[in-house]
Amino acid sequence: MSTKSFRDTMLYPIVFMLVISFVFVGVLAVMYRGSQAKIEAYEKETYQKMVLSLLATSIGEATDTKPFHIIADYPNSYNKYVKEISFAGLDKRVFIAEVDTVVLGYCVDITGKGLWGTMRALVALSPDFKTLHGISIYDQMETPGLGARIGEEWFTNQFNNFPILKTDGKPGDYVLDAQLIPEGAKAEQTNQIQQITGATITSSSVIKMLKGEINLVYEAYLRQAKL
Amino acid sequence: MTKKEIFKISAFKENSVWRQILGICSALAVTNLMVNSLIMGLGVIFALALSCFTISLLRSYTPRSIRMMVQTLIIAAYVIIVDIFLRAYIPVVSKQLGPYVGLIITNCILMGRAEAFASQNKPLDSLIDGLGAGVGYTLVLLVISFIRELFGFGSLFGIKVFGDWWTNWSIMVMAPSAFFILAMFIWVINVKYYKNKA
Repeated sequence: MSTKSFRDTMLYPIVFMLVISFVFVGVLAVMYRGSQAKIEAYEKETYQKMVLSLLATSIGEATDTKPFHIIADYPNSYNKYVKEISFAGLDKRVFIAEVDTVVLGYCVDITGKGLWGTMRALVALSPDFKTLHGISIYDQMETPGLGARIGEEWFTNQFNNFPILKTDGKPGDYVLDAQLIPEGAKAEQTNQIQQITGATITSSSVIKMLKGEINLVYEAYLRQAKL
Repeated sequence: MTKKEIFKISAFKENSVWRQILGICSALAVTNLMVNSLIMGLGVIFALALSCFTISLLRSYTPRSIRMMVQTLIIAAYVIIVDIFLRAYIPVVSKQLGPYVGLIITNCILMGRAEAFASQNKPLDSLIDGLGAGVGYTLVLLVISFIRELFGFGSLFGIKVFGDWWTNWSIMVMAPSAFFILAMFIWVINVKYYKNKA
């Protein structure tokens, strides 16, 4: 036997690193477990608030209150007017706003592919699905400063009261083709959307996502209406 | 060196930002609002002080060949604790700071203090050194964000200071303004505090 102690062997750094990793990861896991419920509750609340604020204008018109007050009245207003429903054969979260069983609008969670990754958005639609009442992109991985500007209000506001359905829609092709125009240009037709300079792919991805997803949702809605 | 001297040296005399020019990235990025700067600063103070303390505690057991790996692991653990805390208790700020909380791990001040001080000194001294460096960093952040928020938003800590007559300077809201302010700040410090020739 040599007089070398364990600390001089090659094994010591490996064992040391393993032990210390286990200790720290363990501490972090315990911490995360402890606050997981709180984080999830907050995420649920933000999500519901987003649904509510997208539907607030329609609810406001029906109940003669300012949208601002409806949003401020969360969670009461959410529980009172908004309900989560499902369309047969559609694997998406659908929310409906109702006042005295009159449908005021729908809100659908849609996903699409952006330049770098998945985009997730909530869209509000009129009860007949013909008009987009608003869009809120809540998860995206686009380039900061360029594509990430799809989250900015000036861009999303273009979709408020946007006619989304074709007048002569056929199965599989119900959604109106939006036309992209340069940023800062004035829209001359209702279907024109200003794209983001330097983010052509992201801008057209949003349009593509809307087209594909709303087509699916509308078809599911029609199926549901026939039932 | 007394504890007070350690603190003074790491916070002021050898300040990480204005003397060693470390941690510049976050000093530019999160200084548009004073609240963000303060919370970022507190996060750094917490992670820095405790990781210096832990690194110093383990310093005689840590094999030299893997000391940097161990330091990074310890720093990362404390930063993740800050991140989880912010996400659970102050989610609004967590969202505003975005990836920058996680990026405290790569803040050069932390590795710098760990290597330069904590790996050779006693735990308590290291804790104080970490606190000092964190306070020094926070101080710089607050000075920059004071100017940026005041002129960019007309407010301080979200409270309106200037009336409606004030026109916000949008350059102050954007990152480039921090370059100018930081440079001028370092210049003033060099002339006034270190009595260097301009």
